[in-house]
Amino acid sequence: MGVMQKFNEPNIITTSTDKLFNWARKNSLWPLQFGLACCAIEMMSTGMAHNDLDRFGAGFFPASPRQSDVMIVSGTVTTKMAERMTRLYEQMPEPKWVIAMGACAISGGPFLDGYSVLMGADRVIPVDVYVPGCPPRPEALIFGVMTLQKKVERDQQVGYEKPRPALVTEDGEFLEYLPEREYGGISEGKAPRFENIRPLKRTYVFEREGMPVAAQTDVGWVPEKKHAEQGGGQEEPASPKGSKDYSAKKPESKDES
Amino acid sequence: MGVTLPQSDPQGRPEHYLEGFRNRHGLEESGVEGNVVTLVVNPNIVPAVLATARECLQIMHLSYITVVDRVGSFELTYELLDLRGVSVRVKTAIEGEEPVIDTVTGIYPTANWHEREAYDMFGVAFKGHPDMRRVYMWQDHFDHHPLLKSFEISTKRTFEGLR
Repeated sequence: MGVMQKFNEPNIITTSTDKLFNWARKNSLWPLQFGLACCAIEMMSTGMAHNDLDRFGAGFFPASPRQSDVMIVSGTVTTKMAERMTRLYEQMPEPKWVIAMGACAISGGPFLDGYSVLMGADRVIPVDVYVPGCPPRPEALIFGVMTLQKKVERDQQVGYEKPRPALVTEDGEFLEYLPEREYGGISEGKAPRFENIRPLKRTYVFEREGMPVAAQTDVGWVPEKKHAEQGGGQEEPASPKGSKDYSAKKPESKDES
Repeated sequence: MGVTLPQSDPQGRPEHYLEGFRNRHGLEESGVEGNVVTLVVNPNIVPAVLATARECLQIMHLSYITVVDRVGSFELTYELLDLRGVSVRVKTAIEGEEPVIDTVTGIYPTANWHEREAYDMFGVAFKGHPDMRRVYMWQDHFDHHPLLKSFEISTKRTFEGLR
C-alpha cells in the first residue's frame, strides 16, 4: 500500500480491510486543538511550516473533539483540568488515541509536588504514546506521531480480542478476570467520594443566596451569634453608606450600620 | 458618580492620609515610608478603616489582600491605591486557627474575589461575604486550604485521593 504506480492494465489491489482501514487512519490523524501549557507552543511550532506536521496527515487541528482522532496532551494537567480533559476525551469518536507530550503530561514533571497537579495524564485517560522532554522539540513530537502511526498500523478490526488482565495460578490456569479500570463518570463530576480522605476540620456553613442549587456543593458559613455581636459596631464606619448594596440584599446580617 | 483623583504631585499626601486615619480611628501602629502609608489596626475595625479610606479620603482602589499564615495567627494586608502614586497598607492580625473577619465587599466591591481567594487558599472566613465559594480549587471533593502551613501533600497521592 502507499506505492503510487502507473498501471497499464486495469488496476486491482488485493488487501485486507485491516490494512486498508489502518492505512487510511494512520495517514489522517487529526489532533484535537487542545493546548495546556508551554508544550502547546512546541505543538503549534510543529504544525507550522518549518516542521510541517501535514506531511504525516496530522497537520489539521480541529477545534472540536467530534472531528478529532488524537488528543495531544501538551502540558501540565491540573486536577481541575483533568475533568475537562476526560470529558473531551469521552467526546472524541472511536477510534481515538492519546499522546502524552512532555514531562508534565507523563508524570507531573517539575510540578509533581503541587497541590493541584495531576501526576500524569494516564491517571485519567489511557495514553498510547509518551513523548518525553521539557518541552519536547518538534522533532520529538513528530517522532511521537510516527510512533503512533506504527501503532495504528498494527491495529486489528476483525477477530481482535483485547488482552485483559486476569488472575491465573502458577501453572497458568485461568481463574478470573480482573476488573477493568473505569474511566467513565469522572467528567460529570459524579465520581464517588473515596474513603480515607480526611474531612476538613472547619465547620463553617456559608450562607448564600441566589445561587443555583448545583453550585451549592460547598457548605457555607453562617455567622455565629458571638461573631455577630463581636463584629457589630465596635467602631462605626466613618460613613454608613459604605455597605449599602450588600445590606439591602441580606438584612438579617446587617449589623454594622 | 464623579470621581476626583488627587493631583499628580504626591508631596505631602501620605501624611494627609495618615492624619485622616489617625483622627478617626485608634491605630496600633502607623507610619509613612516614602509614598507608602502603613497602618496596623485591630481586626474588628478593618471595615471601618477601609470605609474611611473610601468615603472620606477618596482612595479609589483596593489592589490586593494578602494573607500570611503565622502558625497560630493570620496576618492580613489590604493594599489600597489612590491611583496617583500613594498606597496605603492596612495590616491586621487575627489570632486563632480558624480566622474570621468582616468582609469589606460593601466598601470595595473588588474585595469579592480577593476574599474568595483568601478563603480558598487560607480558609480565612469573611463574615457577610455575599458569595463565599472557592475560586481556584474545585468545590467538590477538595477539603483543604493548600497554602496553610499545616497542609501537606504526598507525591504518592492518587488522583482519587486528591479529589
